[in-house]
Amino acid sequence: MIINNEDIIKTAKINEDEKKGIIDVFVTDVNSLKNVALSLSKMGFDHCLSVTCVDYRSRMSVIWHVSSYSNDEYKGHVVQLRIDVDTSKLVPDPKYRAPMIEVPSLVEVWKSAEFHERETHEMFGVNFQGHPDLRQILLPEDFYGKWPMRKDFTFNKSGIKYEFE
Amino acid sequence: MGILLLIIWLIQDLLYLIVFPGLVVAMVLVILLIYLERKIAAKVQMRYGPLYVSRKVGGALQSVSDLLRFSFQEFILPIGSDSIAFLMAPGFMFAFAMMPLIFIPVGPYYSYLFPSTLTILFSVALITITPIYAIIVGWASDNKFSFIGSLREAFLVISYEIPLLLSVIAMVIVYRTLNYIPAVAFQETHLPGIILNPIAALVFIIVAIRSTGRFPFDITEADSELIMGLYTEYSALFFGIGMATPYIELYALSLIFSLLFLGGWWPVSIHATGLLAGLFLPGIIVIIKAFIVMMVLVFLRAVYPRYRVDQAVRSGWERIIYLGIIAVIISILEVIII
Amino acid sequence: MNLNEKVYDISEAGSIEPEGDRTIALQIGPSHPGSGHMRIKTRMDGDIITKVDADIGFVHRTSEWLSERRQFIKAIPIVERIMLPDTVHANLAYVLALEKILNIEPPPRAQYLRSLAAEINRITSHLYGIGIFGIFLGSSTVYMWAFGDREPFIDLMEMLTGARITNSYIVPGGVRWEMPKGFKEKAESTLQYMENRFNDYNDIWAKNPVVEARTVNVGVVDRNRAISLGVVGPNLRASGVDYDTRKASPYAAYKDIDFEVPKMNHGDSYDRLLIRIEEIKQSIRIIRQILKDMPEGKIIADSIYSQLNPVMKKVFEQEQRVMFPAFFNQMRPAAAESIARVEAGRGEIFFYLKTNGDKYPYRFRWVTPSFRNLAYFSDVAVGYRLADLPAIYGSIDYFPPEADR
Repeated sequence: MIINNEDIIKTAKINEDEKKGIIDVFVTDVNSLKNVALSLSKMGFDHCLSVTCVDYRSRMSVIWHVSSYSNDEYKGHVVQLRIDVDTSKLVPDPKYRAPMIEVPSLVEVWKSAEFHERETHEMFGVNFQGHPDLRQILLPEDFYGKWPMRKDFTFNKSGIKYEFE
Repeated sequence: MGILLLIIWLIQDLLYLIVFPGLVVAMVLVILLIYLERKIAAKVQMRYGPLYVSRKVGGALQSVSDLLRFSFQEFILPIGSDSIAFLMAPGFMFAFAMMPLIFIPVGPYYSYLFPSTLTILFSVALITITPIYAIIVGWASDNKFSFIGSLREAFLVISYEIPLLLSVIAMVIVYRTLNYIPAVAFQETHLPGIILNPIAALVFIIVAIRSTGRFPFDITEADSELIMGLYTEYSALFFGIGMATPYIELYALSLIFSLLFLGGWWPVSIHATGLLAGLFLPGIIVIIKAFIVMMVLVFLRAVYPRYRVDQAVRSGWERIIYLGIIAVIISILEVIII
Repeated sequence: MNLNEKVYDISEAGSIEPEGDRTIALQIGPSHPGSGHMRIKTRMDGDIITKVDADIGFVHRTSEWLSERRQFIKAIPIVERIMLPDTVHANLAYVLALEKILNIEPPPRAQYLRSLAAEINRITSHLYGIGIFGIFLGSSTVYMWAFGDREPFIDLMEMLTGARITNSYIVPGGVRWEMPKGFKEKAESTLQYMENRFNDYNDIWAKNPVVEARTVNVGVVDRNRAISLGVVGPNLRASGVDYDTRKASPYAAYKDIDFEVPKMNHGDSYDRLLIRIEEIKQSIRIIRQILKDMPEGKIIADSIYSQLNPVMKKVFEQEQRVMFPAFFNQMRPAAAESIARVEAGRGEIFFYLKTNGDKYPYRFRWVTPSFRNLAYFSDVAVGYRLADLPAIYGSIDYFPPEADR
């Protein structure tokens, strides 16, 4: 067991896959996400590699990949901090193509997550609550609210319709 | 008869001014210099340099073709610019960069439109006028990058003008004259100025690099910061004039350097007479010396990146100015001892 | 889009200064010789930068979206195109992630060839970075030299892989080409050429007084700050963090190779300049070792080799070249997820691949080193002078197309 912090073991499901190099920390409760992140950060996982999101249509899973620069023991491991959000009960918002989902931002814990969270925000419509500067980063201004990386995104231009599946 | 003599005298002077060593020679030299600068830098940098225009002579006509391209390009006047200043300033800049040439003799018998015994004073004073128009260019362009460029120019001009004057004053003290011809005569009978006062020569060279914007003081046109500096908004012939101005300045400064420090038309004697030995040979020798100086200065681009503006200003006020004062002290000591 | 909706705030873009503000806004880019394909929105108090906002995305090519709509093997050319000076590493990272899902282990010789291609690529990437830094500081000589000296290594890549830049050399299970005859000799002469050039680079670049004046104590990032900003690669090591993915989680042949990870302490632009030269020296050392210790054997895993049809096997025996079996086009890996970390020239590439049994990746997340180095602009450049911005930008070896993907 690489993750031996009791707080994390209590609140999250941990699945360590040595072969693939991933330590999966699955947080079930949104409110405890920040505490788990803080415990990880205190353990020595000091930087965020990536923030991403996987759209399973009925639910969306937001993933923070974190690792360590300073701790020799953790250098070779990547922790995948994961949280699932149910999208079926969200209220549609006329401003956006699809409703945003809400998860807490972890920029306070890992400053390096700032730009990744901005990207995930504009691509997937994830509202990171508490992010200091949640603007668009890659897409043009008129693309806000389209959430192009979601699986139900389609576009129809010049007679070419592209749909997933 | 008197009127005829006056006309001959005028034509002669106009020839001096326009043909030799004035405008035509200056333009030919600048075109040649730009070509050689690009070619030599290319040699250092493992590439060919200008080649495809006139391939048989190694691309020597590239600068001419650039000049023609500038002449026939479309000129764009930015909407927000102060149009009169925007149009006039490059012309004035170029004119004032040429003007020191009036007072720089390239032989013992040159007398220009304004015969004077204070030619050193006049030529150096005229050199310091050009930067004012550089500042006007930056202001008139209505572009933040041009404006920052002109501010940098202003800072640098103030910090490097005094060392230039100190260096010239040091040589004037040694030669005890404000006229180029006696100064060259003094060097012929004694020693070249660069041996008499090497510190003054060093200061002059540094200031010449600075005031013509050669590397490592290519600060006002730093392209990775300010696009094209002062000339960001310029196009067509006005841009060409703006680009040629530092080279003309460089030509004037190199002529002054070769007269004050490199013995002028030495080894031709100041007492030589005749059309060849008295007129053309001294002129050619001075221009060759000046050209070598120019080549050395433009070659620095292959060696150095550029300084930051605050570093350049600080070195101007904290180092170069003291070097200038030391040069004056050396001259005073020499005068006392000799 | 509703045209009445105000989507773009002009005052935010910096064209209008708020009243009573003594700073001026300066938009460096997107069409500026010192910006690259990005816009650096700065506010200046005199010559001092008070705020920097790096506006990227001008060369965003929706690469993640494209790769999620193609067969797995067809993502390789897309992956390469995000980071043209670093193609082998991007290719390698994707293939590593895919191999973990497919459970393929490449043979040792293929591992060595991968490391060989990666190290040659690292040298070209560092030379590219040095050249761009040179032109940012105004040294056109270093710019031309670095790009000229990159050429022999690209020729080596061409000899090894058949293509100069986008070589698509690494495929699941191994590599596509055997090392050609005469490669070792050519590689050795190229390495010797590069070693002889270091003195010239020292004279005109690393030990140049003007370069030192411009870069020493500029853009200082100490160890803790570098860790908290999450910067990667040579920039991280220049700040004194002893981290290299090749050591931390070895891939390809790096387990068996003896090399050092250069490290600096001060973390300023000058250290970031020096460390790239040091890393080129280490890469030369690694390439020599690889050429000496290269094991014999197949260049493709047996599980892939067994899927070749007789014609392909004949081609493989005769030309030592792997033709693509039908499996590559039709693979439908079982639902799984994997990550790959690769130390590219500019820093660590991180790929997250998620499959669901379909013939397309379900989710393919790319994190490129330049995107993670973006923090240098907004956090580090504040407080320095305008002329220091190119000195910081150039020193971190930032490549906008790579960050934008």
